Amino acid sequence: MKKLKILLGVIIFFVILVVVMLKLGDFLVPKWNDEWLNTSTVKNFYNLEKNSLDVLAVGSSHVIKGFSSLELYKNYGISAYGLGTEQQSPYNSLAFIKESLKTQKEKVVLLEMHMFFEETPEPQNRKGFDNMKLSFNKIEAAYKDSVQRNSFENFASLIFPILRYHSRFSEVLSNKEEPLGPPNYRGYSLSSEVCGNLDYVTLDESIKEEKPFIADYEEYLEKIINYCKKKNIGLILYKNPDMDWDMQRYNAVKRVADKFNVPYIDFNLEKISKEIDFLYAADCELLNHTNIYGAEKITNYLGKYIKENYEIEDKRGNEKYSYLEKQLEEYNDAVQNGKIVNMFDVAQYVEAIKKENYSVVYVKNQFVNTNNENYNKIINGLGLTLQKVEKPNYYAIFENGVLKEEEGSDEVLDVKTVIDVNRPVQINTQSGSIVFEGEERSCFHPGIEILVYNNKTNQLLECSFINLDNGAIVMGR
Amino acid sequence: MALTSSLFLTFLVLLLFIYYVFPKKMQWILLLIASLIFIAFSTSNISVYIYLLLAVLVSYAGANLIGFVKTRKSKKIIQAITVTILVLQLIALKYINLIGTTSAGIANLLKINFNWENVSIVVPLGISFYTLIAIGYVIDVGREKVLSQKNILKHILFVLYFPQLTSGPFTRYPEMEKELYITHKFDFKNISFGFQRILWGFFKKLVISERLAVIANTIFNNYTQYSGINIIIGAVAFTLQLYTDFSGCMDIVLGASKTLGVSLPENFDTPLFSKSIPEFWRRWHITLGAWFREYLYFPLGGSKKGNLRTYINLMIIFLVSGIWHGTAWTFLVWGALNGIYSVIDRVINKKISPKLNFNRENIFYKFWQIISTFALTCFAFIFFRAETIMQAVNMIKSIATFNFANVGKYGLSKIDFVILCISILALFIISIIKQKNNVREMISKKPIYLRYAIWICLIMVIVIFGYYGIGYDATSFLYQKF
Repeated sequence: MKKLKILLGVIIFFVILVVVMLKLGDFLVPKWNDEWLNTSTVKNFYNLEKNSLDVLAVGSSHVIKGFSSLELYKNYGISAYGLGTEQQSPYNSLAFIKESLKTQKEKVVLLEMHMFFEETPEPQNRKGFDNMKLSFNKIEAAYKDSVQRNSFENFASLIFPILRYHSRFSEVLSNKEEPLGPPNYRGYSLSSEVCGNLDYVTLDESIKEEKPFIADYEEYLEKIINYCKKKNIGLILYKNPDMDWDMQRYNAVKRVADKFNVPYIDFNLEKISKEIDFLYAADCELLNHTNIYGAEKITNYLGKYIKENYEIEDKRGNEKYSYLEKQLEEYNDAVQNGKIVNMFDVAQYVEAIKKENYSVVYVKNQFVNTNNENYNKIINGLGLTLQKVEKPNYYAIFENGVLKEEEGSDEVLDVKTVIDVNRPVQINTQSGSIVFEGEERSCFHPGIEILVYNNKTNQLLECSFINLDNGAIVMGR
Repeated sequence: MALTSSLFLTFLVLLLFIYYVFPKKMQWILLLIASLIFIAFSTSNISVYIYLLLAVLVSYAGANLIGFVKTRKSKKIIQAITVTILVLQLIALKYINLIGTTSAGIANLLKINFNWENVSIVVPLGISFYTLIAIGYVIDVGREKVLSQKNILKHILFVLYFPQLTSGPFTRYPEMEKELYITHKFDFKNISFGFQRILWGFFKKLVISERLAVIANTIFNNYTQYSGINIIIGAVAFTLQLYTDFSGCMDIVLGASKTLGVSLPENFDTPLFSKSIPEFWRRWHITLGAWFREYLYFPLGGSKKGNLRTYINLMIIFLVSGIWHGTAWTFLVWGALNGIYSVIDRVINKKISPKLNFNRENIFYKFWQIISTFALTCFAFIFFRAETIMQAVNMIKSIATFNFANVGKYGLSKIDFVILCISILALFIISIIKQKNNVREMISKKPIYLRYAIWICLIMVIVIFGYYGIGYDATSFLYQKF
């Protein structure tokens, strides 16, 4: 009886200790709210409605920037989630798949292959992993990672993150606000950056050699395949367009995929690349990841493949999934914002900024040659009054596609006004200055300066200009 | 395997489980296996294993030969040979470069052509500890205080018992024989008190000592930029650092051993409250002092051969103690200073003090004694910490400048400084209570919720405020270098 009492006392002590360690750990773990969305992606995942997922994508940053769940919903009615974290190791991928099955019954898992040939640095490995709930899956992944790093300390701190972040106490106590970071669209981080890099080439399919997998990752790939088979989940291996990917890696993955009869879609193959009309320079951002254009192409291809090969009910219009409609609306707005800042087709641009939700400020800062017929067409297309624009000093403000203020004058105009109810704007037509919320935004370029603000997402999108250059209409930023 | 690592704690927990589940007869074998695993985790250098093996085999063979031969003279010869081999191994591994460079320096002064290039030797962790333990054992057998151990595995366990291997305390075979080879029943009090002591050691080392190290290192490593009060702060910081580091290490060692049912001798008894230097040395690194008294001071004649001889003997043991601590002449000066302090103390106590008539029980006098002893200790530790004798001399000279520039700029953030002050205060209060009461016993009598709250709070203080992990290097204890 005495021994039992002692045992019970010890157990209670350690239970309290573990709970305190974990709770304080939560408090000290940094919130990784940068463009890679590590913290919010994992935390939001645990908040998903039970049994609401059809498709889960796991992998590294190529999932974060390349797999757009809401694009899949928009075009195929599939409820998906991108559980990608920065440089996610295969150990963590399997743990996340296993974790997902505790609350979800996804029919398809998409596994991005990048990290099967890369080592994950310790800080990156933790970023998403630290937010995984404590479970046997987490312990198994932590153990595998620590064996690879030959560090018991690493194992202990993966289970109890407080051991890693304990020194942050002063930072946390100083009440520094954690930055909110960019929005998270079901695990997708939207990037509108365009790299313009023309060096990318598709895979050289004449190469037959293989590159070996890192560590025991081949064994782990097989483990993931077998696990998904056992759980009756359709596993699709895929590879995002990637400057660093090569045919040797493709061959290695393909061999395993063929061995287990698992589909493998590699967007670096010429055939698929052409099929989706992929252009690296336009569809990728600077850091070798797909941007909004690339992600759309990749996701839609995957969506089509899933729809053709798996039986998944269309969730669009289903009351139970109405929250996806709301998320989709926000996503569409963000995509539209992202696309506007990349538009160089003036006609397309004019149409885009005339829509609802945008406040647009126009300032003419130099003489505008109105003798050009095309230019006048654009001015008309924008809804500006040509006679007023012809004056040496001119400005106009549109709100939600409706002209709110417009003035053309022989005198210099120095105007203080507001857009979107209360956002101050100061305009000076002599210099072409547009000061928005106290900050100069003008490009100071000859022609018409245009400031575009999204009232719905409360984002200042950009300041651009439209001008005539040797008779041709040009736009710039 | 660092004693402050989570690997060590896990290793200990696993060992405890096996230790108390397996048949008790196997306990000493498990301790032996654990000690070998501990060594294997600590180093992969094959030469270290050879050095350890040599010390173990030499002491084993020597002690058994002493037991085997009949005549006293033969015993003495074998004892002398064995001790010489062990000392030579220690000198060869630890002091060869010091001897070489010093000889080259002297040769240079005498214009003799002799150069010395430092030899790269991997010195086994804790060589100074296990060598002295082995020497003590051989001498005890030679003195017929104890019978030699016939079982070589038991002998290996005695010399290489893992908790004490790297930092002591110095154990003696007659006591350890009764601890290591007997069976130990599972005793929850031993386990809980052992872990509580380990926690206290972690607190001293990771929360206090490592922060003090920042201050001490900043001042000693950039001593030319500091002077006046800063040097005093540096010396005090280092003294406190060394105390919390070494006594913290001992808490971990003794606590770990206690969980296994094996009691090791105490090494500290709140030495910073000492009222004289001899008292300080009876309360600081107690087992080293005892070792030197037993195997060096008494054989030299101790205090029984007149005053002058006593003073010489005192100087000898402090000089040897100094050089035992490290391979630089600064340690010798530190030892010499302590020797001089002890001689002066003896002279004052024997010759001058009896002639002075004042109340020695006066609290202010006692306070003065504590402060002056602490000041002398800090002064001597400047030599202990300095890289060279000249550095120490320059630092001491600069105290007199009364310069207050750079005060407070010791590389520690404001919040770390506050944590350090609160922690030292906590240590001070606990040390005062400890003088009359057993703190762990006191806590164990409190209601369970209060006990749990105290220990969980202490754990969280260590976990949150401890200097460890990435960005910190808190794995090595200062005394492991000796």
